[in-house]
Amino acid sequence: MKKGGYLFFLFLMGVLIVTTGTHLRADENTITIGYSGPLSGGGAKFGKNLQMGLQMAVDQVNQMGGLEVAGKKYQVRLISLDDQFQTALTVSNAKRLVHKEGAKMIFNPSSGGIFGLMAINEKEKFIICAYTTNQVCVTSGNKLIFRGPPAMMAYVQAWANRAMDKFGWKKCAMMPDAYDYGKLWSGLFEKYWQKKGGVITTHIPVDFMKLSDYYPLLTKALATNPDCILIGSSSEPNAMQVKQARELGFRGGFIVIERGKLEEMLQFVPDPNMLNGSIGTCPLIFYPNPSAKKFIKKFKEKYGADQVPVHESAIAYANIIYYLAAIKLAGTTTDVYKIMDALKDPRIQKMPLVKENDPYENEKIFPNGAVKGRVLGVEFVNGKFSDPFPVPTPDWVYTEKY
Amino acid sequence: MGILLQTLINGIMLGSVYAMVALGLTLIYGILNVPNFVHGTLYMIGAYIAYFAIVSFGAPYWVGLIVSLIILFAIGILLERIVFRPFYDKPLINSFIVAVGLILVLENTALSLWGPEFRQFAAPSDKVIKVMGVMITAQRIIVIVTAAVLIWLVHLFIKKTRLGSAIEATSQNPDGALLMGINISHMRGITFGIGTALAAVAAVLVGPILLIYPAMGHTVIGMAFVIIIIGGMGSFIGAVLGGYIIGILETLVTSYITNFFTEAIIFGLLVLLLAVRPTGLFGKPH
Repeated sequence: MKKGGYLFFLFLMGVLIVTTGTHLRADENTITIGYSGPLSGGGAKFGKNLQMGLQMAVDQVNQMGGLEVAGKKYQVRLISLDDQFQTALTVSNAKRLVHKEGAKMIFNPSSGGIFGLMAINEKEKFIICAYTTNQVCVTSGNKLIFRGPPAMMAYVQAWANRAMDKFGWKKCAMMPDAYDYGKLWSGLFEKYWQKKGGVITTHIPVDFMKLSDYYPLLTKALATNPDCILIGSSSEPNAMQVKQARELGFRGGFIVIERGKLEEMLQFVPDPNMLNGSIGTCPLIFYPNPSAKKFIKKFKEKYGADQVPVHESAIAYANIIYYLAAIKLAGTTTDVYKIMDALKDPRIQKMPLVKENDPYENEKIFPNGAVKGRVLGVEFVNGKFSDPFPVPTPDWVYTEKY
Repeated sequence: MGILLQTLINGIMLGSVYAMVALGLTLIYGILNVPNFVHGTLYMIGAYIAYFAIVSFGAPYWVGLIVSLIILFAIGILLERIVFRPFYDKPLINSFIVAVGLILVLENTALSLWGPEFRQFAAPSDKVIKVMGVMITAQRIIVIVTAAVLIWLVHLFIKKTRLGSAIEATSQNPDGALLMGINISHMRGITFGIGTALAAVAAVLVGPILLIYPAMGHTVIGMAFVIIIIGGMGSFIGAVLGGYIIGILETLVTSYITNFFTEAIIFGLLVLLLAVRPTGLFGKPH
């Protein structure tokens, strides 16, 4: 028994060494940013992309000597905890980050996790930086939330319009992801598609966290003879879905929900032509504005020339820049309501920290916390990307309930 | 009709993978009496080793498969020797906890060494064949045929060779085998090696169809346990048939009913079956 106990102890030590990192302790000269996201499991790549953007903003500010708030210099630190997209873990991570590490802001990238946090954040006084296109988080009246990515409806309508008006697709098989986000997205899409006279041939949610063979699902979807398939996992599972659909003889197009990135999918299909007839978000590297180019340059300097930055990293980066600028503008590191007010203050766009760094040249932050920025879409035809097209983003897609 | 046929082929492909993983698991259980939870994690490591052989060192697919098979065979023997052997005369819970601990250690090591991103190696052939309205890729045929051949070889090995008979004897009655002069520790090591190598082959076969990432073992290990319980713990034929049955059933349920409750349906089936036959389909009563 003794030997067994000893070995088990060794194992535990091993696990501890492997799973914990070291980090700075909090003190009154530190601003702590908390991040709970999927750092292992099926969503880990996505989670890491976000983390790279967050870390880049934090390091950049520290390299400039820290953040000066009301005449005092602060260092910024990022603490990341893994939640594998599980809401219960997100909430317990957030509590730990807020109470133990002193974070006033928690960055989280899943609808489910954000809803979990929204139940406690006003009581426990922390700001949620929501990485989601889900509209409910900004229309529910929560006062301590801001949302970086564009509104879901902007994508839904732009993709549907493009699919019907340009490609002439009428019959769509929906294969979104099986979680909150996919349900919302496909729900909005279905309504809009049908309103425009389209037909949804089948609706098959895909659980990409339990990644397996897509043949059975695709066999079922293709039996309905769709013109296009709506897919909504992250890039690599998406690419497998595309590849297998082609193997099964599908010749139509793909509407790619914005979580998936065409440029990443491209690396996972054996032949680029498999992606022909795909509509999705425009890769960051094709964004024409100089501030996006500047971000890409800095990103490559930090993480290596072979690293291609994606929107996750850029939006997460921009959000931290905004948050830190808001702290500076508000003149407080602790009063979360004042920080929220500062975020929505039009003066924030004129602050050098924001002006020189925001890759999207975000126009404004609405009173509900939604960030309005530049959104571009792209198509993949004849083995290459088309020119980017602007995705219309009228104010109502950010402010209305739908 | 085309859809049914396509579904059956999809199911046989999935069943082949399940059968190989479950066979490894049941061999190890039969001889060690250890529910080897770390099996799915070793499956993942098998896939990574083939990935590095094929992508980083430019080895042909089949060389990658054999390299992975050999390395995982060795890892299996080492794990048995270093990690599991000290616990044979201890309560079962000890090996159980060790197995769970190993999952954490290996998975986190994989995560920190190789990162969370999905990886993939190419199939030896991209060909798609169309027969009677059914599309099937060359890789899927490779999975189905290789699995069948390999399962047959393991069967021959156990039934026709001295070493195989010694393994079978050890699993049937360790004390008796010991009295007959069989080196039991040796047999346990070899069996662990073979079981682990089977998992590695399954992973390399299915590698080009699925994606490789540190948590990839989770999906397969739960199902493999269901299969060996349904088939009868330690039963060779139970694991193989169980693998194919569950593979086809899962695919049929996914295609014709829903892809949401497949696990509930399969676990429900397990509960029902165990109520009628507590030892599983082919298990012997204790």
